[in-house]
Amino acid sequence: MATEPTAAVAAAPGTATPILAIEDLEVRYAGVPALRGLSLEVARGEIVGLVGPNGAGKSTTMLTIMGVTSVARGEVKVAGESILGRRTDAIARSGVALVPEGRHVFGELTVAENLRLGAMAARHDDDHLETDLEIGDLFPILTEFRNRRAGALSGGQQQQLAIARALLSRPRILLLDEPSLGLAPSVVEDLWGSLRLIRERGVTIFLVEQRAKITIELADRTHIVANGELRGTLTPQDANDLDRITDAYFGAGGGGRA
Amino acid sequence: MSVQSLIDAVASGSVYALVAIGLALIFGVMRLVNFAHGELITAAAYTLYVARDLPVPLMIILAMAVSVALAWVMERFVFRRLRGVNPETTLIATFAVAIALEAVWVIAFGVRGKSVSALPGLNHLAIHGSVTIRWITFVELAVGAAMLIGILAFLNRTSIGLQMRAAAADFRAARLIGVRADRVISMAFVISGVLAAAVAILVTVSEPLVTPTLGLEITILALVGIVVGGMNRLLTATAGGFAIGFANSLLGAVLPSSQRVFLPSAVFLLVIIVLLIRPGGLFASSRHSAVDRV
Amino acid sequence: MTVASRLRQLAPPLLLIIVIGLVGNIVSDSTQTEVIGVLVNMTIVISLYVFIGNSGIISFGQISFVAIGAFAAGVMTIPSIVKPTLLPELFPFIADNSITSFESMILAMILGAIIAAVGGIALMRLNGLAAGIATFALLQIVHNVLRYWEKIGPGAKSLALIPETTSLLPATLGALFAAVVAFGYQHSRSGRLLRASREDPIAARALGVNIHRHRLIAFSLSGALAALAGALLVHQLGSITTEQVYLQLTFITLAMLVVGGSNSLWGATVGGALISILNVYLQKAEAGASLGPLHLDFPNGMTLLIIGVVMTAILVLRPQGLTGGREISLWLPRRKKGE
Repeated sequence: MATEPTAAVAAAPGTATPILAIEDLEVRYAGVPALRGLSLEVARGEIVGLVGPNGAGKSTTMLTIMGVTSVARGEVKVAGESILGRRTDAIARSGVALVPEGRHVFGELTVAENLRLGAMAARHDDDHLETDLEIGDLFPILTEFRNRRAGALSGGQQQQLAIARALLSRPRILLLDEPSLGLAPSVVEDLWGSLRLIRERGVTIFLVEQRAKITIELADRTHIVANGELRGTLTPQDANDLDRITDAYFGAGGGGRA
Repeated sequence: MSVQSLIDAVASGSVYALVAIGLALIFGVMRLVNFAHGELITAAAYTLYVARDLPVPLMIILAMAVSVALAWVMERFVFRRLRGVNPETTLIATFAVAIALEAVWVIAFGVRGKSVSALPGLNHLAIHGSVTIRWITFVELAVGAAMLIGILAFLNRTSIGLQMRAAAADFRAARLIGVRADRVISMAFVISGVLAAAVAILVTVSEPLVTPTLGLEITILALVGIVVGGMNRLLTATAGGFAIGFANSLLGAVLPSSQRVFLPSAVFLLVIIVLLIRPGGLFASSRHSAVDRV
Repeated sequence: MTVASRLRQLAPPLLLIIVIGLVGNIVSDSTQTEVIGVLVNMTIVISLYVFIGNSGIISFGQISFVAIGAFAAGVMTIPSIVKPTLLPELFPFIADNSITSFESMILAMILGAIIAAVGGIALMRLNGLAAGIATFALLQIVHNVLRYWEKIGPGAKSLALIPETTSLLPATLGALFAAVVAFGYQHSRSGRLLRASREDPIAARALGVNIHRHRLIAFSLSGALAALAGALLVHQLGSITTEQVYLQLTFITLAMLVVGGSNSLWGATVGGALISILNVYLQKAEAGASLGPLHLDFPNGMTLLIIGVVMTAILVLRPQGLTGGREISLWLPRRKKGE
């Protein structure tokens, strides 16, 4: 399938409602714009990435989806329904699971307790039920360390715990904020393998990352954001095209639909 | 120092530990330092007075109901709006609420005390001789231990307890995984109301007089105790509450009678010294102290 | 800031104090007593502001210095003829000497500064909650010592027979003095550094700012001014008990600061004036009074309840206080040359 590398790629195959739709999102921190008219969509079953330099607005996007930051203008929709103005815990319980930057597992609680907390948020309707993932298959280390304090796990293991905890809430979409942060390359490789497996089981994934190359390789589409605006979209074919990537990061492109 | 004074000190410590648990729970989930907790105790005590002609079990239930109701009202209408504000500011806000409520007691019941006797039988001596122990002392110890164990069990074994522990550890992360913040906080206030009522019942047995300042006096000392013990964890905070009740009682027994009026100075001087050495708390691990000192 | 613009910023608090003083001059004697009370309260609040407003630390202990000032000035100005009879246990050097009211104010300020400095060496190392609790402990200690140590004070009785020398002029001058000192401090290098390091103590430390030293300076200055206010207070009332300079006064003066806005001198002055005046009317209502067309007879305790509610409301709805914690500048209608 040939794609136009510099043009925006069509959003979703067919006419199915995207699991996540962000429209013209504008967010300000104390008057300073962090996101300027950002728009993107994630269709069911996709992995979509968002990369960009520091301060570009990546984490802001995630926090805004989760209702932590308030919105100046724009719309955030999950499966067609707007979630703006809802409380964070309500959003989490409606099928949007975030694995936060820095993981934020509860260090004083055990692995099992962390997982239990995730499961408590699971919806019991069968609509959009993604999968009954066997956490034990995906992350065997967690079964082994069931009764250990989460704080005693290594960075990579905590990342697995955070993802497992999010998955247990049976989300419609899994959000990841800089999952590779602070992890060694080999650990990241394993993590990426797990993400592929998770996608194979039917979970939609949206991740923001600093490491552009590995994200472009992983995701079906990766958008570049800089200074709060979209600068371009890349696919796995572009992963080794350094010019393309640099252009997108530092080019003069403005915002646009993705 | 006699066995007598040690026993009295332990009993006093248990009562203060009960107050400390209530304060620590609220601080844990909301980062709110609740000066007004003492008004729950005073409210429960006045309920015992108002309901004094009713059978004892009914008195106790009413006291708990009033205390819990007041706690709920305070949370719903005042404290909910203080979420996210820094602890020092919440300290004066709750101080204001406490003084305002104290004024309400003065208006309703006057400045002089009202006598209450919920369980007068417990004030009788259980053991005579070189050591005198009243029944109430045993009850205080037993109730203190039972409530502490009960709350630990609640926190460690129930779903909502788990959610409370998560919220106390990292409020935002807890909300991000779907923990219902409002439910958790309401639960903390309900529990603190029950604890306050228990303290009121115990305290009025050995000192059967309710004054408008009853709760505030106890809370001041307990608050100081939990900061000294270590506010960030339930166990260290409770230990701090116990320690200050214990020290207060023991110092009172140990000081020569001419100097006994200076007991508060001794206790608070001790508090300042402890805060200087371990600003994060006497029992806390040192990693919590990073920002507390310059 | 230029000198002119600085003066324009200092003007509003000074003018407010002067206006209140002028009002006191034209009202009846009994009302004038109340006006003096308002001015003394404002002095106390300004002293609170010097520390709390600049350091950001909520201190429950500043009233300790009001107490120290009041008792020291009171004891030292009781006429030497009656002192030994009234207070038989005093240390000889206290019992044998008497000074004038004005001298007692200087004494109070010196004592307040020294005790604050000594106590502050330890207390100023603490941050946040620990600092708040430690200052509270200070209040308890001072209250306890003043109440029971008969070698320096009256013990559980009230201290009486103190010359009542705080008339309208001293009260006004005292408040003006406090305001000028407070303003001078907040624009001094120490004051500015202290404010800057409020936001981020760790960053400030990294930049080499000695937070401890500047806090100590603010604390000592605050202690001196508070003690001065205490001296003014005791010479207004003619008597003093430890309960009058304890929790209730702490609460009311903190309310004044919070309602006005704890971050600015203007906030402290406005809050002091407003809540003091409210307090006066409420106390009158508690005693049963006609205020204009209304006849009010509030029960005892209503004052504290209403002030408590007002303070809570402000903290919830507008935590930066009525003035927003900002100074205002006097606007001069004529443009000066070269501006």
